[in-house]
Amino acid sequence: MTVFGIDLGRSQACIAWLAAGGGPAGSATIPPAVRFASAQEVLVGEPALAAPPDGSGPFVFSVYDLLARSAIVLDADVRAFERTYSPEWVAARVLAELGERARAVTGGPVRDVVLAVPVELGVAPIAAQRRAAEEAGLAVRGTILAPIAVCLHHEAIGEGLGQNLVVCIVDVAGPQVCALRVREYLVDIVRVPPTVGPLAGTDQDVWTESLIGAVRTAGATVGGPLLDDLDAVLLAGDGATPDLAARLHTALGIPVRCDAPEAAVADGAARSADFGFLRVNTSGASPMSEPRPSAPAPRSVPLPTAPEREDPEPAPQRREPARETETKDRAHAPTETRTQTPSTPTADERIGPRSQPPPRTTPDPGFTADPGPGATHVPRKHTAMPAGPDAAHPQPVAGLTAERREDRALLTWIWPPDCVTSVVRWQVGTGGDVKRGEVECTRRVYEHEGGFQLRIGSVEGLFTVEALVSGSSPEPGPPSSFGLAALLPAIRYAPAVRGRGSRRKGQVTLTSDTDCSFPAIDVVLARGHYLPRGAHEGEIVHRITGAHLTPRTPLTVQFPLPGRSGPFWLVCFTADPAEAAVELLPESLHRLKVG
Amino acid sequence: MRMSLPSKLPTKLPSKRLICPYCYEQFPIRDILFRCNTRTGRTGRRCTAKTDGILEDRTGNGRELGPVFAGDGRQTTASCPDCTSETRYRVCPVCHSQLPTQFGLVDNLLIAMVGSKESGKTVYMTVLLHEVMNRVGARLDASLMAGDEHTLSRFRRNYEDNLYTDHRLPTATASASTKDNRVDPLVFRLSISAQGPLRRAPVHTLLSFFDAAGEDLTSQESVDLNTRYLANADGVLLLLDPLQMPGARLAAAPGTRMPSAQYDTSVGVLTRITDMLLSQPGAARKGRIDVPVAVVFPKMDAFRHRLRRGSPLSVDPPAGEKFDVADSLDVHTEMAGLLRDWDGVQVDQLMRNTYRRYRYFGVSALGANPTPDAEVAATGIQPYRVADPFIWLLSEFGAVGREGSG
Repeated sequence: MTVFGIDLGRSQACIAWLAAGGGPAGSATIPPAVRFASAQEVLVGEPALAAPPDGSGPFVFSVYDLLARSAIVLDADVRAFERTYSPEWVAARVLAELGERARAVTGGPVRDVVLAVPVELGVAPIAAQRRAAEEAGLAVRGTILAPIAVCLHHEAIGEGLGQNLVVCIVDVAGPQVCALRVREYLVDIVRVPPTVGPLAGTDQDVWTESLIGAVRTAGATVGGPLLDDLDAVLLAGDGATPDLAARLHTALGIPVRCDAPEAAVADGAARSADFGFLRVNTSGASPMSEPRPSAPAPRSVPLPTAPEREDPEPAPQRREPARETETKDRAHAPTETRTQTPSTPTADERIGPRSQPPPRTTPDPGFTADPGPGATHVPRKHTAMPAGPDAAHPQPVAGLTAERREDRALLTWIWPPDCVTSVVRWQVGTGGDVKRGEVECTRRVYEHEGGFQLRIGSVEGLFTVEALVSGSSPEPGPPSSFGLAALLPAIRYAPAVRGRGSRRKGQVTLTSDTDCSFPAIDVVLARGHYLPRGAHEGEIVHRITGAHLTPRTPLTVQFPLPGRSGPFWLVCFTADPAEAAVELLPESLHRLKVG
Repeated sequence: MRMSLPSKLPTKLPSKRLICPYCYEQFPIRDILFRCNTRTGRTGRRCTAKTDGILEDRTGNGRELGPVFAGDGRQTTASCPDCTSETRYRVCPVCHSQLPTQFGLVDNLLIAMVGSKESGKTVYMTVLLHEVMNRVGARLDASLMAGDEHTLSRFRRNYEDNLYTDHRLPTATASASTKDNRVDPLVFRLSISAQGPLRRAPVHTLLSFFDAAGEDLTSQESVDLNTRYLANADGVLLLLDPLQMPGARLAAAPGTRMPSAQYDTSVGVLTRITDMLLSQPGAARKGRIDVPVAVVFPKMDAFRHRLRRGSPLSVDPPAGEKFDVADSLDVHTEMAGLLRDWDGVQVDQLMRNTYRRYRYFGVSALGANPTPDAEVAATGIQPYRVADPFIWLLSEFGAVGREGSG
């Protein structure tokens, strides 16, 4: 079974495979472009770029950007010839074309793939990439961070290896530079803020000098100010050239490797399929103060801040203490993709809800685990099984579902037979406020508590579960993952009646936990036993004009009430539901009846 | 932190008429009988164990036991007049069932669970008791233990193991008519640690759960089979299956296991139970029934996809050790609104006009749709708000304190 590595980049999409069954290793690259030539024809890759731009159909220069955009805006669908195509469907055309190219060369089926993803890519875009791959008929066996893939391509990670490296992936959007400290099966990634823009429109020398400066800055974080401890710079991407490598080598005085750079990421992703466990820490913290160990050994590294665990009695065994902004990743051994269909998630519970493809399990974006002292992870290479029958290794779980209960997530899954412990990992939030963590959950605790609950707030979250089973099995499996979309900002309101008789006034107090603006709000008065479902079931007694609300600063509005006695409902509805970018929630349902 | 006392402390009932937690018959405490323990007494004589005809007739228990004799029912021990052996076995004067240890000395609450056939009463009761023994017990600082050996073995074997170990849904509860008009209540002792003026002290309450077969509520005649149990119950857990309401069936999640359409509607069951309760002398005060009724809508997992954000049913209940009044009223309001959507206005009107103390609850005992083979979903049991009605009933009896106001 050949596992293919795919690098869906901004300026190129590449698929690579290793030598297998007598066939040589290879790769294929196409531009990630799609053009809708007519209602029946879609051009992909070079033909899409080469086609004249006068066609009436839309043109997508980079499906990578399209998927990234789909995670930010609600409607990133592509409309062509009176039909609507989801970003995943469009990206799937590129991935399917890649598969065809590989099939044409290898002569075998292309099914199992590992996706390489940039370090900075958020949860949702990775989920979208994964859905796109599944839409293309590919089985995603895992994801791997692109810098790690580059290291694997250059065989810079392995038994007995301890190196400090800088990885520089150059594409049309500019170089992505990061420093890596490799300690056998543990890799620290130090992200460097992008300071170098795209080459296009810039003087080549100036751009190269900027890149040298960025590489020097990154190298200093792991190799010291004089780069004494920096072992090599690894170049990858379609913008990496031998000339660039030579100039870097000249300027820095350290080895610069630039072997098959355009396919390096995809090749590394393909290699990861046979690599086994790898622990990756993407904390971004400078590890300069930590000396290089003489012998590679697992370290005790603080874990990220964990969302508050509900009902800790009996508490699941936490592997390590937590620390904010730190991330553990594992380039897990990928195998067959687990595809779960959530039981009945509501639309807002899906990541990137789309009409096509249907909501599916979201991917593991390179979650990694640092088991820490006493943990059960066993580093392996080339799928070698752990020594001894008692060693634990992961098995996939089925039916993983995460259900949002306001600020909490309830995770449920099907336990494999004989499994008594699972590892639950989570990544919640976006941008710079991502929190990751992991705990071990025993089956007894799961059954006792009716699932596994985490407090995640209103942000999006990605949850990964893998079961640890004692003993050996023919092939360890990947984690199963499930994502929850972020909730809209909430504005809570509490109605009241002030004064008596003719001086009686209605009052609504609005509060929010986040900085947000709200649209016009109708305050509806309704009588009867039942809570009104809309403004049409009552009388609009006041309209609150849209305004801005800051946290911990309530906004109180008073208005005259019709002079009728008796209790009544006072309920708020957005005047134009279509415009609502916030959700109006009552503080207390039964207190909506006032008067 | 100093905590307030429950609003109404359980009261001792020595002078009141007691109700047997097994046969639900009333009797004064003096009438409690004793059963010889068949051990050799001080005089060297020893009673012979033999089948108790009354016990066998009333409960079906044909085991050979010591003879029953009269004594001072207010005492916890008595000497057998034949063998002089001192016994602690107190038995009901009507059915001869052995009474729980502290019967008559602590509050004795009888909770009847009724509902239409296939509404999930037995599943709900099993999960409720399991939760009270575990998670909810920890939350309330309470312990729930079987009140007798029979309940201990029966609950574990017939209920808990069935559901939690074998993951099988229970079969339909046998009708009382097929068991010579007998039912087998489960008797538990609930001990809740309550803050007194000086210190925390446990308050014990005997709970008798009577699980009526849905079949026994399909006609007025069959309801009458349970009259004694319902009429003497201190509180009622009334399960109204939303999936038996026409409006709700349409709103259920696709793939939801529907109850057979041939069964009675929730309104029919409620009407018959109400008629029966109203017919009891003194049951109604100022025209409305005074018995607290927790109206439980089970299987809410089938409607979770339709709950809007902010619904109290989409969040877990507060985790305090008291009954949260505001949260419960929020759920009540939400359920009343759902009743309207489910064509259940009739139910709401009937409750509003007939019962003085009632509250709506939305629960899910299993948390997920069972399989077509009547097994628990492969992801396990995720109970949702199952203890809310029970805690409300306890708060109505004063056994649990209240937090907040309505």
